[in-house]
Amino acid sequence: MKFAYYPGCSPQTTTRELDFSTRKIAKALEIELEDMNGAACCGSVELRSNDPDLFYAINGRTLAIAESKGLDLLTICNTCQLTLSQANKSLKNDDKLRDNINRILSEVNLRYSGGVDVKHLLWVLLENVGPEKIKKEIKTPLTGLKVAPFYGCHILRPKEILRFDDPDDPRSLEDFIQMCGAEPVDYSGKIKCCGFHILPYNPELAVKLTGKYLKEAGDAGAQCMVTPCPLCFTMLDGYQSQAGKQLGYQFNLPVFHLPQLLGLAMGMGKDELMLKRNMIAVDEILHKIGRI
Amino acid sequence: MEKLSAKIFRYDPTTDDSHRYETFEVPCEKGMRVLDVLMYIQENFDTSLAFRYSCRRARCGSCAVVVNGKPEPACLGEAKKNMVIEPLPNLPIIRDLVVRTDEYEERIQDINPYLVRTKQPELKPEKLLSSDFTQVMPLNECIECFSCVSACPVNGIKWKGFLGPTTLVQLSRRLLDPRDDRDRIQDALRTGFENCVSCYMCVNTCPVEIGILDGAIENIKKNYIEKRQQDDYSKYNNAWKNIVIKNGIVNPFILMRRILKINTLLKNIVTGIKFFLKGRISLSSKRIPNIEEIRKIEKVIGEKR
Repeated sequence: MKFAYYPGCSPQTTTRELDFSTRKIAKALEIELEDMNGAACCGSVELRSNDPDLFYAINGRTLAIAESKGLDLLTICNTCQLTLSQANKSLKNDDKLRDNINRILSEVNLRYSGGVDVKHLLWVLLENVGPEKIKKEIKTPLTGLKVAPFYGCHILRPKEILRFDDPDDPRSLEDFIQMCGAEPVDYSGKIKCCGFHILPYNPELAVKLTGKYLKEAGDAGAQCMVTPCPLCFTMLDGYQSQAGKQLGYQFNLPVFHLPQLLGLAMGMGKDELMLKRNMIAVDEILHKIGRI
Repeated sequence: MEKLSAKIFRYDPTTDDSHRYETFEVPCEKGMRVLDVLMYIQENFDTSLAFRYSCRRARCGSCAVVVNGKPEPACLGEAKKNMVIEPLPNLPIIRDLVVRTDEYEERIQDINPYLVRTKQPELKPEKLLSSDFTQVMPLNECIECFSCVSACPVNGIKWKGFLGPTTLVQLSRRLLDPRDDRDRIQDALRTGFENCVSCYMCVNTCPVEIGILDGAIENIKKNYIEKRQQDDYSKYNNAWKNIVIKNGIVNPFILMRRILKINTLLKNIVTGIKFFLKGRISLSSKRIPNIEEIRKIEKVIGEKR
């Protein structure tokens, strides 16, 4: 099983532990990741509204690179998943748009004919690798650990683009947590917004949103959280103390990236998953599951 | 006859200290709507149950409630075997399932949601091309049911600073209408549109399936950036674009350094130091190997414009 690997900007800068741990679990599960050196930022929601032409051209270029390798694209960020999927859907279905973008891409000797699918790591684990194979690799199940799933927005909505899960009642992250041997905790905030996209110009509001869902997860009995998105991770982990101050609340809720939690269940160590980089210390969780 | 179970939110702020739920068993018929269930309960069990409705065909937008966690017009939503029916969140409760929407309706009035024309058309009757209204037509479908407002996480947290998705749909209708002569960017300034978190909750909830984010809010954002280049919001979005063209990859620290004001930087200095100590801040710019391709693409697009 082989994919063109698109880590996106955050895992190459602020959340390098996500890229690192993804490579670790991929190797163990025989998912071959071919690097796309030269693939650019997806532009996020910012470029999409600011300059749609550039948005389609840059993402068309990324899709064309994957197509030239004959591979589907694997993402590890919700927003990359959404923006690349949106561009992909439009380029596949709108012949005029595709022709226009291909005229631009011909200047850099590329062409996209619509033959690539864009898949998030969570979907690949559940659908392509499959629970049976993963369960065989679970050496140290996280028995008794109560984990709050935090989906984030751009892996669920809009449903016309992201068809993997029910956006109102998703199951994939809960299934993933159970596959790791842990117990998913239910709370309404699991499908809500972490606030990341307004952080640069309204940090107070962004942190308020983060705090609201951290509190909900804690009140529901979670001992830690897991998220498939590095942007949600940055808010939940990196801004947890600010959110606590704002709410007058002392949070201590370790947050894991998807492959970090799976890696732990597969028996990998702290260094192999770069757990020291997490802002909220995970030692208490490691102690709970008998790993230290 | 088969029965369904409807657990209904009950609350009268003039007499009750807090809300409660009451469960009713209602005979279930094929094709039954949530509104039919509410009407059955009112007619057969409790005449005091309060809910709002009018047209019964998803045009007036008055009967929206939350069914099993999701807002929808009661006349549109199919009755389910087990339902929890609640009032729309983010809006003050008058009684039971009836919420106060007048404050929100006034907020829509704030943006002058009507066609403003200062020039008379050259031809009478005026020649209108359907192609000029491609983007406007879907927005005309909005029934102002406020389902999107109740689903919006920002409305739930910062009510006054963000006028919400319904208002932005109405503003976008006028902004995109080629006949409208009013400076809609001035109206946009009063909406707090930049606080939209792009979460798609409004899109997911809209009963008439308006692409509220891509079809309305992003048009406001795009127009605003074009016309107000010197504003912080535009500077942020343009800085993002320029970094993509320059490096192909966005280093958040470089982005923040370009746009954040000194007081915001100082407010976040503790978090910044913690990020730095964990190796989460890289002071140098990373660049993709074949960045010339991105610059060439941008140049070709610029020439075509």
